[in-house]
Amino acid sequence: MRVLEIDLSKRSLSFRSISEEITEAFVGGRGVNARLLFEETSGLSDPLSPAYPSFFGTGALSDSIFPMAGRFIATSKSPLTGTIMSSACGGRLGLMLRKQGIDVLSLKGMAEAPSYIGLFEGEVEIREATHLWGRQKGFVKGWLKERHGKDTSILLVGRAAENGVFYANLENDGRFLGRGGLGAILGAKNVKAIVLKGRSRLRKDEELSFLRHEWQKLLMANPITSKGLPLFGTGVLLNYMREMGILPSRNFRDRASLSSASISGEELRRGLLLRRRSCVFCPVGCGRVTEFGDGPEYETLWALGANLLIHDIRSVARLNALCNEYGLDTITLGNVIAYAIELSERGRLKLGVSYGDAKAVEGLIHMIAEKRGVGEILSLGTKAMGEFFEDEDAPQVKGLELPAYDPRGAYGQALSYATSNRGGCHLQAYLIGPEVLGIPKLIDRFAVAGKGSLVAFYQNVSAFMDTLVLCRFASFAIPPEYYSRVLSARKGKRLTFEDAIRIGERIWNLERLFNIREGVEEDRLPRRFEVIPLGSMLAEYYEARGWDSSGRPKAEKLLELGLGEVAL
Amino acid sequence: MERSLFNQFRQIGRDLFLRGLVNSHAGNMSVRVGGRMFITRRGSMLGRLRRQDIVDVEIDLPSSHILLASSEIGVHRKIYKETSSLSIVHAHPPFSVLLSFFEDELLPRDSEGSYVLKRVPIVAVEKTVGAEEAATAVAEALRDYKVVIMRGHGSFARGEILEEAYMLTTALESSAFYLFYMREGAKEFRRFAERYKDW
Repeated sequence: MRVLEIDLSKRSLSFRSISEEITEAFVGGRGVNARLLFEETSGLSDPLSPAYPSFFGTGALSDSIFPMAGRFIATSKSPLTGTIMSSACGGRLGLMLRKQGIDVLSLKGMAEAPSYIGLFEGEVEIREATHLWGRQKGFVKGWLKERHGKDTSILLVGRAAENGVFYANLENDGRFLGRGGLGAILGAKNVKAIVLKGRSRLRKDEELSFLRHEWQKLLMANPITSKGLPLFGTGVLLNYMREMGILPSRNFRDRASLSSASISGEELRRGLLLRRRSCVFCPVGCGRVTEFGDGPEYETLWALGANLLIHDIRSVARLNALCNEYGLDTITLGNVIAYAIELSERGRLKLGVSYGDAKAVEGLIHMIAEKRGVGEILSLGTKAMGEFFEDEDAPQVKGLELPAYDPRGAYGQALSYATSNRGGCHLQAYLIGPEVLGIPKLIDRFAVAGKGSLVAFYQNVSAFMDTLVLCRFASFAIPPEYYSRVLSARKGKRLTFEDAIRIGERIWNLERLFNIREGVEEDRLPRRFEVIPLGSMLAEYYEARGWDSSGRPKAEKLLELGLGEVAL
Repeated sequence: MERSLFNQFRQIGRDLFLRGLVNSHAGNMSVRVGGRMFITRRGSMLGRLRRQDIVDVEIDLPSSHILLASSEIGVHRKIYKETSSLSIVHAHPPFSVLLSFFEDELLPRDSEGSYVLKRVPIVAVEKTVGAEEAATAVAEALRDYKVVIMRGHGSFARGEILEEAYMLTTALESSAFYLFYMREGAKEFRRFAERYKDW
């Protein structure tokens, strides 16, 4: 594997190879990124400091036409949570990197003035972008495309990242790397955009043709991937989650009411949809484009809609567009605002914003993105807000705000939140699959026994998927044993399903070690979820993982996973 | 044991019996919970499971409960040690067992079997019950397949949950039924049909 390392402070670049030992053990994507981050950040602590690196990794299939695999994943330490943070995206950056023979892009240092990086058919340039700093995204994209061609892929940050909002995101070709503030890291490096253009042709791999055929058959056979997501986008989940009583509102103090049906995927399709948007080589096409721009997705419909009691689809789409423009993670933002309103209702904060008031929420978003007034503290996320207002009830896990699934209605998902390496995240083990959607089969969502083992299994599978940077939605239709076969076909070397699970487990443990090294707090849930029997699930989880009772990997487990040299 | 877990054992055990996939006192099932497993009792009737028919044993450590557990506990232990399986169903599906005398693998040709199974390996061991050799062969096959047949004995299916392992067992038996009665010259409808052999 080939890494391009750009040091913005020195304006230098270098290529290096990753050893075969590392690529065997960690494959690519999230795995290799995690391994590089662990190694290169010993002694560093502030992810917004110039020396701190960010990695953009590709998967084994990023340069093929394999469905749902033409993606990339970015990794660094989150300024919001202090945990390791990997975030994947279906824009074309990964494809363009691979077309130029780059497997991983590593960025460190800080440009002297606002800049953009150009990767043009093997040539690397760092160009000044002072005139693009503080400008609207539409202008920035237009200027870059005019200068470098319409077929370029552009990864860029919005003004929230320039201003150092802890949950500023990244955008690449209309798709987002939403969580954990990776945009803020680029902003701190004075990087406005990365512009890419590659020329080599895509790999046509005969070995993959059979698997691609089988993959497409399964996508077609599954009603979620063949109908639900293409027709209604991810918003298709909203009504069902409400019916199941796990769509929260008012900062997890209520369940969403029937009124939230007016912001569902069905309503979006009926009243606003202009067209679908697909990630690279994806036949599903779950993305939505409306007159307001990209989105809103399910999580946003909840975070800025049902959660804030804003039940007007146009208002939610408008707020989403504002977040896209600023480059803000809508899940964290929706939680932050809901929490701020709650604090205001409890008399802890003077806010002048109430639930359901879309206009006032819009004003608050401006203040947060520009870090004005109360927006300054809100720009740091709910954990920092809780500390600032001396409130122990901030609803977050390890500093990351929760997504649109109430953990009180799905105990496995609750455990998944509590143990996630990036905090309150649903993507690292989507237990909503078996607990609510019945994928692969419906299980008792309130059962406790077995959940610890199941969550560990799902986390390992997801970590392996992220080495190939497969879209998580593939798992709605494609059983996990396919993933190892895809990699085997690409590598020309048989990898069993268990080998794949072991790779996922290795990554999970390494990320855990990173978090322990960085002093990340223990696995727990916010106080308002104390009804959940977390203790017994955690005990089973640690046992299934081979960790001690405090959640630390035991030495023998690390040796078994080949992590002894790294960690001991 | 939680009621919902026991209900899974009871309902799936009954279905296995009624579907003719096990005889009255044959077959066994287990579910992994952390470092332990719940497994059906030796000689229990899967069609009529009671709470006392489910035994709780450590996966790694020997315990006195082994006296009660299924005689196949060694295979279950080995599978849990060697793979990430969370549930196991062992049955004696007649057509699958019958075909295992003639074949080295099953390549289902019906739609369901083709989608969910692709290829089912058949392992052969001399001592089919309780022997380390049998446990090793089955666990090895389940590292890369969801279902395996032990020649002349029965099937072992793994799943994330018990229901999945059960579903795979029934799919296997249907496929075996079709394969057994399939006449020469049966029409193929699948593109890449020859590639299932490599699965």
